[in-house]
Amino acid sequence: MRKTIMTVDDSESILAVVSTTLEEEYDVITVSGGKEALEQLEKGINIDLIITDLNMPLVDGIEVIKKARSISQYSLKPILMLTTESQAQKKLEAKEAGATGWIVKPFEPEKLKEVVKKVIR
Amino acid sequence: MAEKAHHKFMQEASELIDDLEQSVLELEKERGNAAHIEQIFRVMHTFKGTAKMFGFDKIGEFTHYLENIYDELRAEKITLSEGILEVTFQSVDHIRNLLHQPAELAHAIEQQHAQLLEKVIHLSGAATGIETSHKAKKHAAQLYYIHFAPAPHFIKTGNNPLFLLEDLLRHGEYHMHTRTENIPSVDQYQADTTYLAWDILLYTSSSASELEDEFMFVMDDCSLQITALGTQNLLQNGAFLHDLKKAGSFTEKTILSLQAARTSPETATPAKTHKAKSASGNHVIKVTYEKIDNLMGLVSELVTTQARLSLYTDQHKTSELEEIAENVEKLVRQLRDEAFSISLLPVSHLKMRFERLVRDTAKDLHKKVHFISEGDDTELDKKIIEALTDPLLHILRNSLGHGLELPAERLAKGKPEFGTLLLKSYTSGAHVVIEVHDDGAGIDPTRVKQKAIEKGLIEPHAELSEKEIYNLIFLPGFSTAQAITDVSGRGVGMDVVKKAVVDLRGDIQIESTLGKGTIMRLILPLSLSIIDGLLVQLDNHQYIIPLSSIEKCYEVAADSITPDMNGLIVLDAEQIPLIDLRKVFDLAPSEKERTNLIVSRFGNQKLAIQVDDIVDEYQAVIKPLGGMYKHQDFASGASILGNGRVALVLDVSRLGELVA
Amino acid sequence: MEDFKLLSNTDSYLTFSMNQELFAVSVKKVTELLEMLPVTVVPKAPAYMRGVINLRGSVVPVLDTRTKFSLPSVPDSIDTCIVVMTIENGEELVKIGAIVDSVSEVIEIPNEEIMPLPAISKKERAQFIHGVIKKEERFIMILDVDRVFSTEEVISLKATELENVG
Repeated sequence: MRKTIMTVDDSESILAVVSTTLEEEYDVITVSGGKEALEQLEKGINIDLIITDLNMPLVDGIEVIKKARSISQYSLKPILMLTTESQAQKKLEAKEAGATGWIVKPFEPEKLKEVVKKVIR
Repeated sequence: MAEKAHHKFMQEASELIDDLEQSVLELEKERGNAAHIEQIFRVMHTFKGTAKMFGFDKIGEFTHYLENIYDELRAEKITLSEGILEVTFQSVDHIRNLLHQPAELAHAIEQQHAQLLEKVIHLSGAATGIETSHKAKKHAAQLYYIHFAPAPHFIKTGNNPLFLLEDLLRHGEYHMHTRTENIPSVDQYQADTTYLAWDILLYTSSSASELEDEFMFVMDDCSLQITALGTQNLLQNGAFLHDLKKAGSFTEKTILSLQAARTSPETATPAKTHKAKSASGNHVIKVTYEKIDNLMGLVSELVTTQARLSLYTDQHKTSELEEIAENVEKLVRQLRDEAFSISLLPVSHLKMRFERLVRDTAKDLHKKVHFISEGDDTELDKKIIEALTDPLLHILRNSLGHGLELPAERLAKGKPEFGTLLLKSYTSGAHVVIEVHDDGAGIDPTRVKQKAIEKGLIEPHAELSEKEIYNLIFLPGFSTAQAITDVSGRGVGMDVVKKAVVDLRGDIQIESTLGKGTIMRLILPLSLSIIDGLLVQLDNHQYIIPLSSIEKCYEVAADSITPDMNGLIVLDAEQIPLIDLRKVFDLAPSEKERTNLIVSRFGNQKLAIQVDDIVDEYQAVIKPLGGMYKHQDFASGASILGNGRVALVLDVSRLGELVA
Repeated sequence: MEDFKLLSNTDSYLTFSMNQELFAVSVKKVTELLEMLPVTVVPKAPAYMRGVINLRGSVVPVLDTRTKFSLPSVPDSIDTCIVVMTIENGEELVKIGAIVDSVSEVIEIPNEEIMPLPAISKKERAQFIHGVIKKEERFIMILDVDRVFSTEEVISLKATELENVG
């Protein structure tokens, strides 16, 4: 069965990269911001993996992670965060909030595929 | 890269540049406006993260430095200069050019890029130090020592260490050793438990953080050390490799010593340790003490205001108001505790300062000592830590000078040649206890008494308990050193130490066994400014007793209190000294039939304090009484009550001394 | 010109009365005047140390000036006032409140009108008194508040003893 990935980013281009990279093997739902992501989570849509940007205006990635972890349906699903190298502090916050791992931007599409494959058993 | 994504990026980038331009223009007009700086930072951050993925490496490289500059600006580590503004303006045009690459300008853009890049590197270097200036460059290949030890339950978490290793070793050239020493005998072997650990020497151009990334999903389930050992590729050195294989398991030390043996010293580069830890305490933001002080000041005012609200609520009982006041009280309490925890520092801050002193002092005195510590992570108010530095230095000097014997003397007594000096810290209720233990000669009570008599501090025939004798040491002008040594006999006596501790509303106790050693115990409040207290009443006078020193309260019939001739009463089959607060404070005896006993403890000492009434628990913001009341030290301060009146905060241990 | 001269040589003093006698302190020392406030007693302190008050969130010691000057005690009245002053106590500057019977007025005193204490007055008293002035046939003692309120001793100061000055 194909797995579903929700990817959250306020950058259209990142969403486009993630979806074009992964859509061959997975169903990818793109969400354009933290607020929208919270709405999707509240709806209880079926998701096997969340990939979220950390730095987003209004509702940031940490809140998305926390929200997901508070809903039993997603509490055990892997969550990957998209960060940049300079965000050590954020990375840690995200990890504490319950992120499974991270992908550092900019990334190679191949690297993204690899990491996703690892976490989405 | 798919056409769709590329198109999206171009579109987004154009918008971002327009945003950027707008923000820079506004920033020029309102230089103090943090929102504009934040917006520019955001744009740079987004470019840095995305540009490279769409083939715009130059934009990625370039914006990385600009991001640094604006990060420093928004953190207010640097101020906005004309130069930064100018470069940002030029950058806007340049990024636009890089994005669209008009063919006729190719050469000019190339030149412009080199020039601007130099400027931003310079500015960001000035802003963040040299460290960042090479951060964006590809790492030069380095040699890493990696120790990877999965936790026993590792496989149960669904991870396979071998896959991890495979990914890791893909980064470069390597030598690996598998540690098997933890594998148990067959009968104890469990198939789902991980017993192995690995030592790896890896030569790669990946950075330590990239290597660390390979372990990101298992960080909490393993112990991992990644240490950069310099740029020299020792794996190419046949002799070194031979030695290393012979050594079997190895550590970073093994490598360094083998390296020293097999290579010329000048090529050996100092190792920089990068320990990958799963602990979260490492990541911190810096806040100035001033900000913390301001926060504490506001919290204190809030606590006082909250007390007024509670009082008002009591007088105008409506259920809604009561509920609100109750919530406010709860929140204020939480806020207070949070604010406190910010101003706490671990005791390890102190220990670091002492290590050198102990080493040097011991050497000067020809003594041998192991200086160890326990409970380094015990936390204390920063102000207390600062105020404790000198007293503790003095105690340590004393222990080294008077306590610990010379090595020969120790050996003759059958003690180990090396003495032990232990700095032990722990939290006990609302107090922090710091102890200095030494396993030296101990304090001889007869000698202390003799000395006190010689100095005229006590009468020759005074009957003193052991504790009272030890306390003589804290009297001004007392020094037990037989000869004035450079170390202890500096005119600064233990009286100064005691005063410093008492000024912190703390206490100091001595425990000593002749021939075995001494413990100096400092009992300190967790915080200096706000305490939880119990409000008590005598006539119309109200006093606050710190809850931290209270063990139990009893309400009893007044005539049931019958102290013996030593002022002791029996409570729960225990003899406890009684302090009748009325008597101590020269008030007329009470007519009331009921009275309250508050059993307090300070260190090892118990006291029963008799008061008329117990009013309530009270969060007290402690204000100093000031120098005019320096002789009334049974009051450690005063606090303003909800009704605006002042109540004294009582210091139980000083009260005890008052009646002793 | 005249004004300027006045300014340079004249200081302002707050006068207050106790036991029908007048005292003055330099207004530079005075930070505010308060009506009588509830005072919290600090036990085991000398009698002239009346206690502490809440001065807008600070705890400030107040002294009973009558007791300090060995004058007979009287109950507080509606005129009773607390004069809050900043004094030098040893190395530090501290705020204290002095309870007085009533505050009179602020007067300007040219420096040259201040008379030294007569030689016959007791030496230990002299150190607390900056000088004496005569105004409308009454003597006013100018107190050296730094000294008066930082010492722990009780002082005997009776202006009437100075009648034969000047």
